[in-house]
Amino acid sequence: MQYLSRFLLRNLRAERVAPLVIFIVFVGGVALVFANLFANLRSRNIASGFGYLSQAAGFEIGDTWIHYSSQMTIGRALIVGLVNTLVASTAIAVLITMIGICVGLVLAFGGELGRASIKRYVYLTRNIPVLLHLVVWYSVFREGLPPPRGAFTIGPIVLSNRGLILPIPQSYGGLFELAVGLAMGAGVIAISRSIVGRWSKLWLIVSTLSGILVWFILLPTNGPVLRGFNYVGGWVVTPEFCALVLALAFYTGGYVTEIVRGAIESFPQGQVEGAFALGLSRTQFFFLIMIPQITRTIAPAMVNQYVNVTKATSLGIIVGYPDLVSVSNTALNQTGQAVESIALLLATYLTISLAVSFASQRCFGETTERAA
Amino acid sequence: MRVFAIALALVTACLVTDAKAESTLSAVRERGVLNCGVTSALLGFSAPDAQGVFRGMDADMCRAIATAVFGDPGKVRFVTTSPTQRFVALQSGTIDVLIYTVTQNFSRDTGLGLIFANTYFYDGQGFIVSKKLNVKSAKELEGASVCLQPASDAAPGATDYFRRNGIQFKAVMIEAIQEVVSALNAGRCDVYTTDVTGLASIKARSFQSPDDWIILPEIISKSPFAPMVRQGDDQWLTLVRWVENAIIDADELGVDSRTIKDASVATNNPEVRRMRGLEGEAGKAFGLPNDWPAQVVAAIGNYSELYDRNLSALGLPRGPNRSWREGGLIFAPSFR
Repeated sequence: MQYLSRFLLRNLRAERVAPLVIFIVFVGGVALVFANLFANLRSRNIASGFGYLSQAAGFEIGDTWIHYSSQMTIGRALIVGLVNTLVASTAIAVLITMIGICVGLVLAFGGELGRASIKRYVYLTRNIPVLLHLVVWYSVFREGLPPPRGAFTIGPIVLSNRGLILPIPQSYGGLFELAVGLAMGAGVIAISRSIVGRWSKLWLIVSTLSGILVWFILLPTNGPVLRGFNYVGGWVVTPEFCALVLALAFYTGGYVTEIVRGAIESFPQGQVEGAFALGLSRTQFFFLIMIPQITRTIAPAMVNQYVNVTKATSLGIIVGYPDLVSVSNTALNQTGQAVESIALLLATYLTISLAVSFASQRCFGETTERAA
Repeated sequence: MRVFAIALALVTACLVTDAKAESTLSAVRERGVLNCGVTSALLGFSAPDAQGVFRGMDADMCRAIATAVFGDPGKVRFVTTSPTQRFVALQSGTIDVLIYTVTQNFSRDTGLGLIFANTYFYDGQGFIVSKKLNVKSAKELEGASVCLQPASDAAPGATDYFRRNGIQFKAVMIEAIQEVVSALNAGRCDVYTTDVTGLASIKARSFQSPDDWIILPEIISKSPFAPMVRQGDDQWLTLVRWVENAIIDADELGVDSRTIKDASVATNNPEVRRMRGLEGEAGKAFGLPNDWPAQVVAAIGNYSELYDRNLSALGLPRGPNRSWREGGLIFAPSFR
């Protein structure tokens, strides 16, 4: 007993106990709120629980990357929405990365004109609300492109205000597709190896690319055909998707530009002089000295932007892109289960954002440490 | 630690307090104003006019309830909500009654902890297309791009209809009605579908040349609109129902906003006398003055006045919203 009390006295210091108390209060508080919430829902005869996810959805979704029909469940519809969100976020992430690289190149090699236009671009993007960017881009696609009956056609490719329609090759029962897939895979490996290593494998890339071209152009396709109101067949990239992706990429690009500019401007002048004193060319300096170092400075800020665009895709509801929020709202109107719907949305976005930052920590954590 | 325990207990007590304990009617009277949940942008049902005053059938229903409670149609605060937030607003007590062209159906009646009062308007889902497309029937819409609003009944309604008829379509889900109108004008969608009154409303107000647009003859669903209140407050539900009944009965009894208080009209009709508070005790159950039905009709008018004032501008036939005596569906139990 004596030992115990002495142990407690020695260890029960405010700074040790406080975090524990705060933790217990926080968890207890959250539990209390939820218990109370569900008690209230029950006492008011409001349906609760996640059983609604297995009900039939009963509504169509315009833009789907995985198979979906209205007879499938609400849970499936939400997954379709989630995939839409992820596809749009990924496309935007790729685009803003490309904007970042271009800006870096222009700042390093572009001279006064390039620098001035980058400045104007940043003014234009950062000083206009993202919502207006979206509406403007959407109206460009909607008003600027002709309706299907007057669509632009370039070979089998069709462009109208119903979207960009690409031909899909006819199915050859799996084996042929497998062979093409393998060829494409070999091509990717060849490309990446030849960039790293010798250029002697160029012929492999050329052959793979031409193989793909033949597949897409020469073979008969279930190509888009104008029938009634719309083109039938083909693979459609909707104007809603394009508007969302381009608007968010254009907008976020302004922020990415500032990140890259900051990193380049804070690059130690001594290294620049040192590199030129050693006789390195501008290109060599840029690729061998600057890029490896500023990538480490830029990475954390870029991850922030990747997380931001993932969340910002929820604005897709403005331009009619059926992202997770849009699908969830339609389901909510049918089931009325607002608490569960919102909780699911919160949990999903939290998971995506945490996963993105976790993955990037694993990727860049080491380099940032080494950089520091 | 003791202080902390007391604080925790207090917080618990606050959280657990049940808003249901209080009756809606007494809460409204205490507050001095009725919080009425409406839409902000549906011409004919609820939309602000040039002076910012809410006009329309839903808005006038709100005024009718306020008149019954306070004797003053002005004592209503219009709380504009959205299709996704409207039920939560009522469940949480932000509004006392929801009059938002809500379509009655089974899942809403059973799953939300809310209950419908009486139907005040019979609508149905239809389609609007440009005349340029030369479409005469919804059956010809094979392959069309259909504009829909994500949180509406129209989305499952259209899906059901097209599936029944074996028609393929492409859904374009756009939330804001202004964007829907632009999408139709630009030809992004071939057709838009919602309740027929909604179609008539955007046709009259949103298109530059309304005559270029046609509402197709097919009505593909039943949309009976009714006010909603919370379950478990029977007194409030009864009041809302009888405010609606008073408006419909006045129409049947041949009295309107000008004649309801005119002692020389229909003096011998016991129902009119009851509405005027001369016989019976119409206000007793609610603690209201006995002439509250007459006040409601004097302030808002009877059903025909309500319809003509708000919906005749849409140019729709009155159809099922005629009195049952003229072959319509508008019917109310008598004020006896």
